[in-house]
Formats: sequence, C-alpha cells, structure tokens
Amino acid sequence: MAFADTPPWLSRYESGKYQPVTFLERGVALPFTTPALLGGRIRPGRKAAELVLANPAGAEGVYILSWASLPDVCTPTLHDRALWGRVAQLAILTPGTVRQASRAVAAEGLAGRAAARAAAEAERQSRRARTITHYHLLVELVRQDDPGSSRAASQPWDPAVLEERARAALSRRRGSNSSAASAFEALAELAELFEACGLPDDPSQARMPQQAAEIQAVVQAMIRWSERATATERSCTRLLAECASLTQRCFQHAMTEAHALLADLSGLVERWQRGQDPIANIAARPEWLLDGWELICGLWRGAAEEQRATALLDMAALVPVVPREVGDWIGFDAAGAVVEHRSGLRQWRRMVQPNQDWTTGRILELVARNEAVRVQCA
Amino acid sequence: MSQALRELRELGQAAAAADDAALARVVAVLDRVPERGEADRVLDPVRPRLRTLRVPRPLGLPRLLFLPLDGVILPPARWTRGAAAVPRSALMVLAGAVQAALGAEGAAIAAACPRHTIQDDAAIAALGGRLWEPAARLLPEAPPPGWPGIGLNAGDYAGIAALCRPVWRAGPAIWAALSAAAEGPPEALARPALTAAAAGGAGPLTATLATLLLRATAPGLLAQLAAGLEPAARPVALAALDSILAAPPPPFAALDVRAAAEAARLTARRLEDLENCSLLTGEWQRRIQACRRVADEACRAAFLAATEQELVAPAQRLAAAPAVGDTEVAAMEEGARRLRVLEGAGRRLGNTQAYDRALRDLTASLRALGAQATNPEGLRPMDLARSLEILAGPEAAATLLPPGLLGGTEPAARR
Repeated sequence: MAFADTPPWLSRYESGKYQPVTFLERGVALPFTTPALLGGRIRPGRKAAELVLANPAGAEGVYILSWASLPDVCTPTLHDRALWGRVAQLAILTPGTVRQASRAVAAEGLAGRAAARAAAEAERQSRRARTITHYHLLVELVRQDDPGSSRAASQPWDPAVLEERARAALSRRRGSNSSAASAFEALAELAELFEACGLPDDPSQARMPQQAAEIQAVVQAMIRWSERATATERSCTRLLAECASLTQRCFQHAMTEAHALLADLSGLVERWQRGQDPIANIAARPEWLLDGWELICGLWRGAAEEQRATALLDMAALVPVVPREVGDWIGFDAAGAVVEHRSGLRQWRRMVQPNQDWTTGRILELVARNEAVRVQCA
Repeated sequence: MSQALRELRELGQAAAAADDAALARVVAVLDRVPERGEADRVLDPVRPRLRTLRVPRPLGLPRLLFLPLDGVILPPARWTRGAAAVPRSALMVLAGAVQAALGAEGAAIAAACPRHTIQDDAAIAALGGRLWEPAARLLPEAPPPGWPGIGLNAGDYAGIAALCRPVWRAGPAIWAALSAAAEGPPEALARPALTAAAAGGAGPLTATLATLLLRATAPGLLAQLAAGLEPAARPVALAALDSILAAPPPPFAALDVRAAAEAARLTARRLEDLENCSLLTGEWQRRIQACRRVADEACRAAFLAATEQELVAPAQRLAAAPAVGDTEVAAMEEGARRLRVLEGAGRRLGNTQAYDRALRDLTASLRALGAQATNPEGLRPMDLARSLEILAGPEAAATLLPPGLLGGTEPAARR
C-alpha cells in the first residue's frame, strides 16, 4: 500500500509496482531446478550481479538480492549451484549468452541424463540453425545484388558457387577484396545474431517463431482447460492469456523491425562493421520479449491433468513484466497494460506451508518436475 | 493340528512374507470368495499391515455393518467372555441376522455395497446411514440360526449384541468422525460420536474409542475428550491409551518404502500428540518415550534395509555393467526419492544423528563406487552424485564430483 507522503521518485519501488525500465533491469530468466528459485532471473547490479526472485506467495512484486546470497536463500541443487557459478562469469548478459551457459551446465548431467541429452541436442539444433541462416543470408545477398537473376529462388545453391557470388557482391559494393573478406566474416556474425529470430518466412525454422507458436498453443490449451476450472484458475488463465497476447503483439512488431534490417544486406553489413550495438539491440528484442515464457509453457506441458491447477498458480506468478523501454519502440504503454492485467493477481494468494516439504517429499517432486521442464526448455 | 489348519497357518505366514503388491493380490483373491470361513484366518497375521497399507477392500454388508466396531474385532482365539469386543467368527452370523431382519432394504443395501470399497467415505456414509440405526433396532434378542456353529455359546450372544446395538446407533456420528480421523478427528465430530456411544455404557464407549483411535492422528486429544465426558469414562480413556502404548510399532520393514514413510509420519504425529496429552504424566510419559525409541529403531532398521535394496545394490550392479541406460539410472533416482521421504519421516521419530551417520556411510560407499565406475557407456560418477543429492542433499553429493565443476561466482556480470 502506498503512503500518502511517498515521494514520486520512490513510488515505482512500492510493493506491487515493480516496473523495470529496461529488459536488462528485468533480468534474464534462468532455468533453476530448486523450487524456491523457480523463475529466478539474473541482472547486473552496480557492483555485482543481482538475483531477482518472484514473490513465493504468488503475490505481486519481486525480491532483489545480491547474487552471492543465493545459497542463503535456499539450498540450491547441484545444477543450480553450477549455473549460479557459470552465469556469474558471463561478460555479457542476454537471453542468448545465458542459454548457452545453462546448456553447458545441463550437458554435464547435473539435471539428469535426459536434460543432458536435451541440452546436447539443442546445441546441435542451434549450430544447424546458424548454418541454415548463414546460407539464406548469402542467398539473399546474392539476390539483392542481382534482382534480375533468372535463377529460381527455390533452387539450391552449390555452397562454393554461393560463397563466390556473395564475395563478389560484397566486393562490388566496397571496391576492395580485403574489405570484402571482412564483410564476409561480418555476414557470418549476423547469421549468428539472427539464428534465434530467423529470417522472413522462417526458412530456418528458428527458435523464436517456434516459441511464439508454442505460447499461442499453450494459451489455447489453457483456455479450453479453464472452461471447467474454478474462478481463481480462470483468473490466472485470463492473466496469462492477456499478457501472452500483449507479448505476441510486441513480438510481432519486434520481428518485423528485425527482419526489416535484412532488406539491404550489404548496407546492413556495412553498418554492422561500423557499430554492432544498434543492430544487435534490434535483433535481440524478440528474444528478450519472450524470455521467461518458455518456462511458463514448460510448466503447463509438464503438468499432468491433475497437476494443472497447481501449475497454473506457478505460471501466473511468473508472468514476465514488460519493461517500459518497450513503449518507446512499440508506440503504446505495453508495460502499463501488463501491470493492469497483473493487478488480477491480488485476487488470489498461494498458501506457503512452512516446513512441510522436508517431511512430505513434495520438494523432491517439485525438483523432479523442474528437471523435466528443463528437458523441454533446453 | 489338522492338515487344513496347518495349511492355513502356512498360507498366513506366506502372506506375511509377501511384498505389498503381492499381499494386495492375495487379499483381492480372498475378497472374491463369497464365504471365506476358516480361510479368513490367512489374513490374521497381516491385518495391522493391511490397515497401514489401506488396501481398497470391497464393501459388503457385513464389512459395512461392523465398520463402527472396527477397533474391537478380534480373532476368536483372543476374544474373552465379557470383553468389549466382537469375535471375528460372529460377524457373518450377526450380519446375516441383520440383513434378514431388514428384509428388502437389507437386500438392497447388500446389492449396493459391492460397487464401492472401504475407501469410499461418502458411499459408506450413505449406505451406513441406512443400515446402522435399523440394525440396532432389529438385531434379534435371541441368538440367530448358525450361532452355535461358530464356537460361541448362547450366553455370549447377549453380551455381544448389547455391545453392538449402542455402537450402531451411534454409527453415523462415529463414521463422520472416522472420515475426518486424519485431522484429529476434530472435536466437533469426535464429541458427538463419543457422547452417543457413552450413552450405551462403558463397553460401547470403549469400542468407539478403540475404533476412532485406530486412525486418529491426535489420539491424546481424543482420549482427553472421552475422559471429560463423565467420571466413569476416564478409566475407559486411560485403558484405550494403555492399549495404544502396548501395541507394537507399525511393521515398517514389511511395508514398501512409501507406505513405511507414511506410517512413520503418522506414528510421529501420534506420539507428539500423546506427549502433549494432559492425561499422561509421569510413568505414562516414560512409556511414550519407550514407544518412540522402539518405533525409531524399527523405522531406522527399515530405512537401512531399504537403502541397501533401493540404492546400494542397484548402484553396485550398474557400476559393474558395461553399459547403463537412462531408464536404469532414472529407476535408481526414483529409489533415492522414496528413501528420502522415509528418512525425512523417520527423523521425526527421534534419533536424527543415526540418520546422519547412515548417510555419511552411504556417501563414502557411493564415492568408492564412483571411483570404480569407469566404463564410458556405463554408470557415471554424476549418476551416483545425483542419487546421493536426492537422498542426502547437494553438500554430500558435491563430494562425488570433480573439483571445479560447480564453479565460482566472480566476476560480476554486466551487459
């Protein structure tokens, strides 16, 4: 509750008014398996990283703790202990870098053999997606260089010929072979940058469009399920569905902007070589927007019919807030809209039972569930 | 001893030695026999275990009729004249007499019973509501036909009928309390049941209290409530508590690990309640502590045996195997989860240091096993560490992992 004399500059820190300005302030979601850390995020602090935890009672608001204090909050699993150490070493915090680090931890087998296999397979898929994206970028570069070419778009290229034509296209634009070589390297970096969100028409079946479709499918399944649910469950479903819909709208906007960068590939390469941040920021927006939703979908997919009601409470508590920076590039107050939807959370509370888990084994079941979700969200 | 009796005794011993799943199958076979007669004695050695396992036994009119007297049904050999108890051999004859006296309603209740089990509380409440009070009214004054054939004399009938009638009259209230036994039962349900039974005298109160105490999680509070009903009820309540404290601990070692954990949790809760019972002071408290020690030792022995069976033996087998599949490792982890639940429940019985010692020993054993696990396609030290993490926690498990795998926390991350 706000006090009447709360200074305006302090009001955004009021309980229930957690409104990060940037994605980075919101933090990057981590696939923790310890129940107390579920949905936890890492964000950079003034001196060291910080841990952002959802309120365990399901109420609005978060706890922000120093990264070093994680073992004081709970007893983390071996997996989480390793993840805790590894992500703290990251020089740059993005959903992509955190994903790589968490895959490396899972690949050690710390979340079980199934999670290790899933992480290795996901890494293979990522490498494959990078290669396909790179290939399509080269094809697109050649097509943009010679729009009148009679070659059919669907006809596959011989890699050597494609590389030669792409180098020639870059060379024509720059006028020297050495700068063309570095531009060719830059194109490979751009392939890596666009691996997650893919290219227009999604020839590489990239992860982000697939995840957006998965969110849509889970929301549909939830809505069908909630037809025979209680009022609390329906309010959770409504919250999730409305926030998912808003996120999808922002996501489509961000994807369109990212794909628009590819309209002039040669020019994009030049701008990339002059400065990477503006382009990287735009290309990363779709992944930042969906960050945290993979866990929400995994909880739904991992729950058996009789566990869905419980899963729904966890899912609703983890709905990501939309940072205010989104409003700057999308043109409407997306952050405010999510806050409005989340105000529905105040209508319910989850009972937190002290010291119950230790004797009932419930905490073990939750760790096992979170590890199963870890398999799905590799 | 006759050949038939010898065979029954052997079958009973076999049932006692069977695992929980096998025992449930034996019971299901016996429950399908319409007139079990002497074969019923096969189950005598395992009745306490059946109660702990809560095997879903089919409902029949006799079982429904005697649910309010469940705590005082005794094997014929243990029944004594004048005791507030019913010999098991009398149940079918008494149920037959009640059903006959009820006529068409009796036949309708009997026909409705087999669709349910003794775990269908609502169905029992509904059918029992139609059966118990009429049974109290209609039970014949004279011994029914068939009575002489069960080894009891005509004089015994009056005493047994005098015990049954008031308990059946209180049947609906008793069942309401029994259904909520996991919550105590709450005073709001226990008091009407005990009051109704006490109106019939000390015998019915004894029987009702014994029945409720079979499942009550707060036996001390229940006995306290009974003792407060009237001055004559106090010795009845103390006698009931005496029986609880004289009873052996649950058969932890004979139960599967999850059932043993559930039994340990319930036992701990009941002992905590008894420790806080104002009726039990001085010597009584010493007896409670003795019960706690016995239960703790039995549970710990079961835990150690289960650890060997569920974790150590599978780990040894897998460590020696040239190739180990994910399913086998998952089964070992599932075993560790079951053990952790038992360990957590067992600790509530008392000796936590003994569990700490057992886990330290286990950690050392698995560490040695991890050093032997060298087949590239076989069991990995990480597999053992995960099972140990589940059972003993991450600190113990970390000792099985190579140094540095868990990493540090510096430097601070930035964008």
